[in-house]
Amino acid sequence: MKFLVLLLLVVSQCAKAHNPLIVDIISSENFSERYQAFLQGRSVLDVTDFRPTTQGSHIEIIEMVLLQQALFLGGETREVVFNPKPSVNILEFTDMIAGESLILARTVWHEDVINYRGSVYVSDPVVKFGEYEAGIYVAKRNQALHQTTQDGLEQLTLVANPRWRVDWHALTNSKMNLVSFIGPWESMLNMVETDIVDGMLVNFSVSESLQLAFEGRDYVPIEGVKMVLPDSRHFIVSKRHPEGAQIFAALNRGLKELRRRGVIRKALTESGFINRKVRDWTVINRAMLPQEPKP
Amino acid sequence: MMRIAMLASWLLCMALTAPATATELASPSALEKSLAELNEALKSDFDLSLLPELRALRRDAQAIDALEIVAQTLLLEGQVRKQYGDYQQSLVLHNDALQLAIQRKDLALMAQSRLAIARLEMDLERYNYAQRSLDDVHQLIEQLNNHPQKTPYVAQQLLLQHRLWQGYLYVLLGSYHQAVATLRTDGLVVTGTPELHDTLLLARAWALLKLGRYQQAQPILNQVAQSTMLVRNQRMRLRFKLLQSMVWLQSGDFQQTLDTAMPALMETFATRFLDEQAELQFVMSNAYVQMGDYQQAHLYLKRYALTKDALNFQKRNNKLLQLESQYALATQKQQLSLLEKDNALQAQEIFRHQQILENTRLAQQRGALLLILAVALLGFLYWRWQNKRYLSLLEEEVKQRTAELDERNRQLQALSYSDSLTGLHNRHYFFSEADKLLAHTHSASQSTIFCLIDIDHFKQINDSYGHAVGDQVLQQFAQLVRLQLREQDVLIRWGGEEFLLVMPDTDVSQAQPLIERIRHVVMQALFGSDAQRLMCTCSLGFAPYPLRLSNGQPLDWEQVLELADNCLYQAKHGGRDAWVGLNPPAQPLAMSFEQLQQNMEAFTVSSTQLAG
Repeated sequence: MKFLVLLLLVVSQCAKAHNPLIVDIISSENFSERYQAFLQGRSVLDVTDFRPTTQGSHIEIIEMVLLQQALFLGGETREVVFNPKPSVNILEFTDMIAGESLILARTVWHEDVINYRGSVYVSDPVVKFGEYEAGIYVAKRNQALHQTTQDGLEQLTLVANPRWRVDWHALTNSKMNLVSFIGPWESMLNMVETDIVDGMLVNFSVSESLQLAFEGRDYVPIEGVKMVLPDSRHFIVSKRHPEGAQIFAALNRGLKELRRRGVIRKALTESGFINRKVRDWTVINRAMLPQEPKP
Repeated sequence: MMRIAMLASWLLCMALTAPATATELASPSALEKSLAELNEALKSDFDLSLLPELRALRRDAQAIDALEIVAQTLLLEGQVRKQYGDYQQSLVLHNDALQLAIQRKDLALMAQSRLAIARLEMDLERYNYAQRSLDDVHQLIEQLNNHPQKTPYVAQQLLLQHRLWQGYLYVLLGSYHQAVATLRTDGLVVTGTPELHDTLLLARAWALLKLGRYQQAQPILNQVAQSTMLVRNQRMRLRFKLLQSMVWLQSGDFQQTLDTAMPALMETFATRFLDEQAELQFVMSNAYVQMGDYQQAHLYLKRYALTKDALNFQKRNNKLLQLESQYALATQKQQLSLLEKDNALQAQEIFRHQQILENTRLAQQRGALLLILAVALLGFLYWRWQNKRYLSLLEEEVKQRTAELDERNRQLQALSYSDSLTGLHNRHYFFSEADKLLAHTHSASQSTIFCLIDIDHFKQINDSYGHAVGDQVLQQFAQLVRLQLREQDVLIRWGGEEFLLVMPDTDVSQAQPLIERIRHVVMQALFGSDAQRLMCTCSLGFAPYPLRLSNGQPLDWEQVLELADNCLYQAKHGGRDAWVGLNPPAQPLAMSFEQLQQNMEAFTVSSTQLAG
């Protein structure tokens, strides 16, 4: 009997150990390599230094780390296993709605999930409304555009993907001309390179010069101006998934704690997502920000 | 039902006014009433059968020149046409209304037309143009507010409309926070427009739902639900149901979503409210997918895609049409501008001609002016010349006169200085010339001798022979003495028979022989005429000038003359025909003038002494 109890305990422990928390992630983002490169052997829960170790956009990795830290802080101590899935499944939220997918490793725009709030839990914002900033990147060789003034922006033509609704909204609320393009991001950069358009909206690079390098070509932001992407970003958890409520509760609890400790702000700032170098730059679409309530 | 009632009332109104129209025109107030009714009926469901009435109303309004009503009918028809997809004609009608408003300088109507155009642009997704129109509206409202006494109510209503469509535009542009901030009714008291108020509330709820704030949208919808407008206005009813279904969807009540959306969707099929139709289909698809009914979800997504496709096709078509019409307009404008240029050229030509004429006129005037100036100048010069000539003549005359006067003065002076009888200088001459004559006489070596000569017993000659002989004697005496004188000596008739002889640069010793000769010559001469010969003598007294006394001061010539006179007296006293002269020593005399006079004998020389 004693032996049986012991066996049951071992089995349950094993079962628990082999019942990791599956977090879906977009397979195309090549997360694994960059994620490991960022951790540099650190335990994800021990990460307090969010400074980037590689060039390029970094936010996805930071979100993966914050998600795990939040879950842990919220009481969910199981091991997290990332499960790559095609982007279509994830962006249409069908698995999430159906309860086949529990949670996403990436945050999503609030606007994209407002119609699914009956089916998904929406966490507290990781990136608050107005925190997400981007620059207008032009080809580095196109010197004439580097110092474009705010008035001069009206003459510019930018390429943008109307499916990226938040980007599109930001740009339609400026006076710049838009060319809509639905296709790969790389093609859009090519359009800038070949002068089909003057520039495009891109997250500020974490490099010292804010310069963005892609396939041997350099792109620089127009100095002094930036745009706010007018929405907030949140983690979502399936309501229909059996563990949804519990995981969401842990996640949101953890996020609140991280926010309280200033970790989220620190992570966004150190990673360069909230870029200090452009702190004093003018926000072109400032009017879109929530208005301060009048006293 | 409502519509039928309105139509009936309008027809009744028309029927009542028809007989009057035959003889007289409809009154503006009746037209306004009809317009209000039509407005209500049309906006609620865009019934095409009302269009002929609308046009008839416009004709009536045109007949009585009620341009505001004409403009309103244009706007209404524009809205109907827009609803049925005829954006091009709709834009034309809106612009016609705007032109009328501009023509009438009716700010409110201008704002209304601009608002309608903004809505049209929004439908065509031309948001920049829509924003420009709304900015214009804002300016017009501000101008209206500058005349608050005129149209406070209209301005408030327009402001509310502006807020509505500006907020609407913000939603379309995805700037939801801006939309929520704009779509508010606070601070505005607008009565009589429940439709506008409710539409604004619905738009606000829509913006809130775009932000996912269904909890805030629900109370607004509850508020609108109580409005009677929902019964009357089909479009608002549809939008209300759409928004309510969106609230249910966001809150996760999928069955309620379907229950609300489905009847609304059914209602759209008989209408042209494609936007709402598409949105409802999308909402239903979303509800079905979350309910796990993928078949229905797919069906409604497909329907949504079809509706959206139709809408997009319609918009694209209209955009193309608009582009074409813009091109036509541009061509027309080009032709117009060519004509205008031509006109401008002609106008320029006319202007040039006018300028030439004007220049000629000016040149003529200038010529005339110059001529007058030249004549005036010539006149002036002639006058100056005459004047100068006259002046020089006068000057000449004055000079001549002056010369004459000088001559006369000179003569007069000569006369006054000479003695007319003897031709000698008189004592006036001596008085005026004494200083000059004595100027170089400073020392004894250069002394001047003053010698007074008196004809002895001249009174007797006058008495015995008459004055004529006396005068003759005087003349002859003067002549005789003059002959004895040296060149530098001056003889002056001193008065009566007394003469003064001034001998410059002569000392007493030099003077004596000369004086003696005079005495001698006179004594020997015969005076008078051949018929009456007579003899006479003269006495002479002289003194040298300068003469210094003990105090070192020289005596003045008057005193020396007095001394000479004293000497003459002595000569006379001594028996006449003699001369006495004062011969002072070389050293100054240690006595006064008076003492000298008293002791003169000590210093005199006389003819008698010389003779003796």
